[in-house]
Amino acid sequence: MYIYDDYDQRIVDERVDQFRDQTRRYLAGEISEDEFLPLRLQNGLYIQRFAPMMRIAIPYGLLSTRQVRKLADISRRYDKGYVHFTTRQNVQLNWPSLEEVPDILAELATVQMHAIQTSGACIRNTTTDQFAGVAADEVVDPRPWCELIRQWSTFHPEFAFLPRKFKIAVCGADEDRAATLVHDIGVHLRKDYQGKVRINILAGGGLGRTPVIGALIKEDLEPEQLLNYLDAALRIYNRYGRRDNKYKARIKILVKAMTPEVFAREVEDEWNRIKKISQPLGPGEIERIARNFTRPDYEALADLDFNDLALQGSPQFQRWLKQNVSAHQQAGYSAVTLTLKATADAPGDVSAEQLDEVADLADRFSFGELRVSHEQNLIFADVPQTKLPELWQALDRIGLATPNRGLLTDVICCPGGDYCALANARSIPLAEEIQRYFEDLDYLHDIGELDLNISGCMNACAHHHVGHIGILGVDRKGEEYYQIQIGGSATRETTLGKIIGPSFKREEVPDVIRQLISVYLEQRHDGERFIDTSLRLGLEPFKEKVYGQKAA
Amino acid sequence: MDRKLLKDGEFCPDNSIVWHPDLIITDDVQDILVPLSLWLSHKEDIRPLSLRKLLYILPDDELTETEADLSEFNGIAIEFPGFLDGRGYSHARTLRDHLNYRGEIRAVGDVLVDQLFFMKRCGFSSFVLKPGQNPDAAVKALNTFQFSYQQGSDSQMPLHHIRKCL
Repeated sequence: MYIYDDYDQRIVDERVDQFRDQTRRYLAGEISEDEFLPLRLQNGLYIQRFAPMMRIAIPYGLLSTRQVRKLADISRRYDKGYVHFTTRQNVQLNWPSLEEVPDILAELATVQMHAIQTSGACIRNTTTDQFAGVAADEVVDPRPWCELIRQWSTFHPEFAFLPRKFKIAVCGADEDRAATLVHDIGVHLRKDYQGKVRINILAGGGLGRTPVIGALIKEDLEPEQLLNYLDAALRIYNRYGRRDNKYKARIKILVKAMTPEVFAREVEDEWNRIKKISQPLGPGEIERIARNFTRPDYEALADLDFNDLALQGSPQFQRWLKQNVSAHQQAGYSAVTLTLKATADAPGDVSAEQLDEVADLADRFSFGELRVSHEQNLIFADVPQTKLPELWQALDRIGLATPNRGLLTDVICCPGGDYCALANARSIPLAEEIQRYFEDLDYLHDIGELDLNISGCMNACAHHHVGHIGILGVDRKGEEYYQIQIGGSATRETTLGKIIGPSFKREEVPDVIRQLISVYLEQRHDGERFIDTSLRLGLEPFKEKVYGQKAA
Repeated sequence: MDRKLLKDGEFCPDNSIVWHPDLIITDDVQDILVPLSLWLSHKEDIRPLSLRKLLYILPDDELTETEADLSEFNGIAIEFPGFLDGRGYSHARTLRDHLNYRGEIRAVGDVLVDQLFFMKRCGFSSFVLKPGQNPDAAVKALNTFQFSYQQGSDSQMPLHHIRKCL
């Protein structure tokens, strides 16, 4: 992974000094509440329902075990002994105190971590495929490009006060595991017929109140021009994005209003001006960064026959092997997903003790590194297949071998009304009720791949529009209700879910989901997933099942 | 009004005033800020005035309309109506990078200590601080970071160039 040089370290250290001084001036009354707000947000600090909440960046999802141990240590010393992994490859502390945040940032800086621009109307943490660098279907390793974008966006002087937050996602594989079509900018890395890297840029995707799928605005960009092109796109957004209405301020509204064609032309003109005065990125810098992402010291191993391997273990091991172990570029190796979705644990939450144990296991089994996915799971990216039974046993002991990756109970879930001041309804208790309701593993595995996303409000932190089943918490006269949609997906063929009808009380939701699934089980064709069947059939049969004849 | 102009590392009182056709100019006024829209309609009235003239740019203005006239001004003032409105940063960069403007670019309006570093990097060379801002903190803030990753419109080299030279 990327290792800071002295310059990178100095920038992060100076950031800690800057925020320490700003916090001191705020507490001394020299900076007003309103003026302090964006300063603390751009250091990851929210004031939430009960206490401050601090969001720490995990750039494009990569963590070393040293960093994991530091997070465990910080959560014990400054918080309540657990952390929450979010849907944007970040990690959150729920109970830090404002006065101690500069100390937490200083601790993070000792392991090359920070909370820079994890909130605020600026360019946020760049996200990518959790299997970057190891995925069997990868064309271009996205990590060096993510790091380039991280550096470019860090304290970009022109774009610290954009109309609204700005999120960039990068994808370099056949399958899009980074949901690039629902980001402000999606970066698609590909290779041309000569094997040279070329980049397609999408703009104007997003979820929230107005879900929109991003439009292709540039094809075959030379990689040396990536940052110049991003400068141009952000400048057009900074200048013309709406600032009069918070709900219409994202780039998606601008792209839609201008039309993608006109927006693309404006960016192209600006880029042509920038190109005249700004040097392209040199091959030396791209190579320098890429050198940080070399392949680990793999042993020469052969791929194992997974049927044989499965027979050596218990039914639980077999399920885990089928569900949580993914294909790898290197023969004899696999990537393993630890879902943070055991029933009764809030999705994405991990205790300090588990973090320490996970770090020990990653040292033993996966070259001392791990990843965080936008599905709020952890990944060991480089596990020798011969070690899978041993790893499973160790994970099972600490409750992190739940064999539900990609299944209904692998719920993507925002913190909801239990923590978040914006939420209309709670999400965590609903996730737990659904997990309890669908505990039968045979039934779960029979249903197969199903993305269930629960957001507690329109801000859509859990991306409910792109869940195969998406649930949105709404407020009806002070009561928590849940609106259900189906047919969403965040892949290359991204689709936005459609609402099936009036919303439900929380206790009704698990059975409604069962009814939706029963339609699928009755009508699915061979090999169809829930999403395929729901798109083929449309809403009607599902509506009819749930609401009866009168609604249909 | 106690506004201070920070320029070349030093403070002096800000004796500027926004020009309009009925303005009565008193002795203490040194600079006039000429709004772009008024400049376009009143060039002949403004040209003979023997004061320092700064073209006054608002966030909505289009700089392309001014290109030919820039040399008639002693400087350019860019307004920040609220410090959260970041359009002024792009205006400054357009002036420096695309219009090749080398004169004074002054930040006026809701100009706070903690935004000065970004302003400097976008090509601003002087700053009228909002009243009540701490002058010592302001001078310090201009040098918050010794190195920057990106190309800006100031003299600082982006880090990838510095690394290349090593």
